[in-house]
Amino acid sequence: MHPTPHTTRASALLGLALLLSAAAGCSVGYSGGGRASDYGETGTTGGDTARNGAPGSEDQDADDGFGEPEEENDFLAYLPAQTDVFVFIANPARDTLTRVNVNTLAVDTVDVGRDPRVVLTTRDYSKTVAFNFGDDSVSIVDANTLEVTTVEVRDNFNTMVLSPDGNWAVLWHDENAVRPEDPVASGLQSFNEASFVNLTTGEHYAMAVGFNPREVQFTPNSELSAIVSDEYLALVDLTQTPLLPRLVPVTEDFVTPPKAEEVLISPSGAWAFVRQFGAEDLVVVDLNLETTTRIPVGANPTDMDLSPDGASAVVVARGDREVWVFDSENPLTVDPTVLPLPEGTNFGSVLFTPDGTRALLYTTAAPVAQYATWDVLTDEIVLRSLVKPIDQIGITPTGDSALIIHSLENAPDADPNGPFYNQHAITMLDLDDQRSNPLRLPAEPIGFANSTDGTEGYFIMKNTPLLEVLDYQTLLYDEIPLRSNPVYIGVLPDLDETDDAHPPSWVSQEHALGRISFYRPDDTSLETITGFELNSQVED
Amino acid sequence: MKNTLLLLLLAGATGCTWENIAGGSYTSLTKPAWSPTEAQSLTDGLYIPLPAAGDLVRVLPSGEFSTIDLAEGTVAHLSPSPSLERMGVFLDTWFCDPEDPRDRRGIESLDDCRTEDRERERSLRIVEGGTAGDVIPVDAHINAIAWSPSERFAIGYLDATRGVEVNGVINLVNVQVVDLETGDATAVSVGFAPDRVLYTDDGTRAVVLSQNRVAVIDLASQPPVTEVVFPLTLDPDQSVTPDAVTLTPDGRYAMISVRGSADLYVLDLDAHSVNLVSLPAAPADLFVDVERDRTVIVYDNRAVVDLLDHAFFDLETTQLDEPMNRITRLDGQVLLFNDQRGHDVYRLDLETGDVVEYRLQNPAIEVQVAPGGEWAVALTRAEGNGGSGLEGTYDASPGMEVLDLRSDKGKTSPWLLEGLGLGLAFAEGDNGPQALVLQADIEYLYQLDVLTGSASELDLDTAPAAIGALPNGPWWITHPTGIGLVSFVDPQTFEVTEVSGFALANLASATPVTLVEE
Repeated sequence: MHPTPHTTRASALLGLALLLSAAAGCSVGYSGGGRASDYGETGTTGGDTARNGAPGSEDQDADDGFGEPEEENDFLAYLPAQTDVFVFIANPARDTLTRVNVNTLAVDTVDVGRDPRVVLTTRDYSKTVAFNFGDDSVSIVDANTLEVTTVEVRDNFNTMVLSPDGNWAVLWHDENAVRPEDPVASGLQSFNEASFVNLTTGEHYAMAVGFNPREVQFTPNSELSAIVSDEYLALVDLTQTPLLPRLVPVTEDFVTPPKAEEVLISPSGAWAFVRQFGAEDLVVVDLNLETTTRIPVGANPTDMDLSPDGASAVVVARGDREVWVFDSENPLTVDPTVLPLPEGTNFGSVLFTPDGTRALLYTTAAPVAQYATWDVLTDEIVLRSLVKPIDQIGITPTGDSALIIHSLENAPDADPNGPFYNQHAITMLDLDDQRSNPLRLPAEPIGFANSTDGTEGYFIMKNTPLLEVLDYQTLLYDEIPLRSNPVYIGVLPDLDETDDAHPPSWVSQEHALGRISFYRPDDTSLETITGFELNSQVED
Repeated sequence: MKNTLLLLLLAGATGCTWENIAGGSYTSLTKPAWSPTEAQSLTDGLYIPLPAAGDLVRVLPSGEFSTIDLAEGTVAHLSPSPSLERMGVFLDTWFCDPEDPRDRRGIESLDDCRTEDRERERSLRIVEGGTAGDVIPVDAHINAIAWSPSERFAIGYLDATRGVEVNGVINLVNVQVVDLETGDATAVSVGFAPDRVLYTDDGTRAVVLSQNRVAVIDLASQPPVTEVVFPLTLDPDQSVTPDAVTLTPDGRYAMISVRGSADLYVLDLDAHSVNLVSLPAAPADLFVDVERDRTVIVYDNRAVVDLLDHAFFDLETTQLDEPMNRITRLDGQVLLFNDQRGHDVYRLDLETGDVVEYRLQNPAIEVQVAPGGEWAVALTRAEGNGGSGLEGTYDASPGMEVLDLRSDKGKTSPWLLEGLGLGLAFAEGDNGPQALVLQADIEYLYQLDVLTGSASELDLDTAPAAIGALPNGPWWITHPTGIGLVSFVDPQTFEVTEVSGFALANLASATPVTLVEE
């Protein structure tokens, strides 16, 4: 059991790593949750939309000795979760979950387990699931009635994802997700276990899946789950109870196995692709035969994504300056397409537009003030320049625009007298005509989110009580003063995409008793509620 | 028995006043015969406690007076109802319970009982039309009541400003809800040191403020119960003391400012949730504008007045020249003033948001609106800034200023007072409102026709102690004499009717005590 922590939400902020996610049609910037599911949950731990080509693949890229790994994101707890009308905020110090109705601003608080940190909502918005660090349990909360069912899970986990159908929560200990403020584990501790919780029945199945589980993926129909660890891919048939793992070895070296970095599952559920640390080939797993085949992928593969239509598995081989495109349903019989990257580039990341017709190639591992556009239909790759190197890129759900977060570090050939030298910056980019508006920032950007209709973007900066509103059509910005420093940001889903109304965005902020603001772009109003954590102590 | 000693001394109302008692005998009192500063107006007369006798006397402008038959018990505190038709009277009944049987001999009054052997029970009786209702036992420490708008309920609590009378164990987290229809008194736990009570307009709920908590009592249930308790802090080391409190007209939200904080707590009494609205500074006073469903807020340290709407709790700010800390209601408007510093008074039109500034010669200590709402009178204090000439004289003197609320020109008419204004009472005269001003250490009252400005001194035989006005009736003036003296002044004719001697009623009696049986 974890001891009761005394970590505050503010301190959690300090550990903010940048992560883009746009789960289930709603965009949440800089969210976390480690190796999140492709299809499972909304709002918080990222629902890694890489498979769908939306912004924010969150896989981590290998450092195989050829340079720095590509920076994608890391675990981040305490991030609110959202449904179509509610935002759920965990109150770890008070063992409660606060629900805010975005329309009425009504606040309700419900008791969950001890020290809730990770909060996810199912894609049908019917349930909110809180993972309680303090007592190693999962609280399943009916999003409407707030009825709570709590299920104990195995000890010392730190990561949770939901299946795409919202019927399962999977928890495990992700070594990459350990944070300094995490409670120190006591007693026996396993690094091989996972818990599966049926969110409908409350049944719990625990299993050993292989040392150091890295990531959990599901087939789109949620019938199969795959957990990748250093030695095995554990396959769990979610249609058969009790749940039992079938272990498929992904290495021949069981003494010093390479670390598994990423796993993808083809849309049909027939194939899994495992990218390993330091390897120059991919492990392709036939999920029906449960056999593995290694296929070459070039030197130093640093990123692997599915194309938005799921037809291709795309790997960027930074060492060979190549993009490898595999047929995701015929990886062993159809030769991959290998695209050379421009000379002198060092790109290690790929990000597709949602329609899959184009992608951006870039690097976050080196101070390179360039990116390339890849026309997927013609395979034309065009190199383009930026004002500064890249830290993160987010593409709007419509694929018309991108928001580039620049690193503070300057490119080697940068002009020391230039306006962006040693400055934080972002660039709004129109992907149709490559129009851009680079903006120098007074502080480090710590989160951003894009509206589902692609018209607005939002970002927040460290210790800066402002909500920055970006108009992707005009590439202009507006600043909305906040009551206190922002913490997290998100945009609610557009409930009716046929009307002209734009969904509100929300910004949680620093306040001892909790604060969240809702910005409504239609009338540019900002509503703030403060002190909602007091609701945990209201005595009805 | 000390009360039967026929001595020369008679302790007067304000210290030891000597009076000759008819019949040539004298007595020594340990308590004042009457309390001229605690007189309370009701529609049927002026009610005055008689501490020495433990009684309550009703004094009428006609010159008559009569003690209220309270059966047993001595009067401790008075709390008039909002309609001024009823008076809540707290009564104490004393018991003596000596441990040593030898000490039981000779105990006939409270004075005979050692302090440590005394026990006190408190009850509440509602006096209406000069007649006391049934005895309703309440907790011994309760010394104040808050009346519900319909006057069906009275919630008793401990008002620490009236002093804490410790006699036995005190429960400091309870209030007592008294249903005046049934006579039932129910103790309800609300939080430590409850000291303020508000009711929703429909009278179904009461909001009770205490340290760090706000409780809502459901008055519709039988018996009344705590519906919800809102915390004001989650830090047990922090002490959050509610300051000003208001309710929105629909009764849904309670808005509470806390001392030293710029956060305004908005409690949703229906949804049982809390929101904190950030204000630019700690509010000094709040006023709910019922018609426009918003709250007027002023601050000690910010020269603005804010209008907080109750739908989105957004602020609309109007700049002022000086900070204000008091709000006085007008019809469709409010008067803003500062009783600590500054010279400005503002009239804020709640419909248009227009502000009219009135510049006083000296800082105000009180501003009251005259009946009819066309005039206001400000009592001011000396500034002591030195200077010469008329301005220097004015700075060095207390004053009174009449504010013309009819025009938007900010017209004021200053008056020098001989003593610091202590009290102000209005009555409707033939020509409009008449003001009566009580000054410190001055043996006359200053009478002012607000409309014409004509004034006169109302000479009194004895210095006044307090002034007031009966509802729709004459002014009254109490004088600190031993046997009791009240002057009633007709605001039309300025005819004075003096009523005296009422403090001698039952004077010979001592505080009764009941010896607790062994």
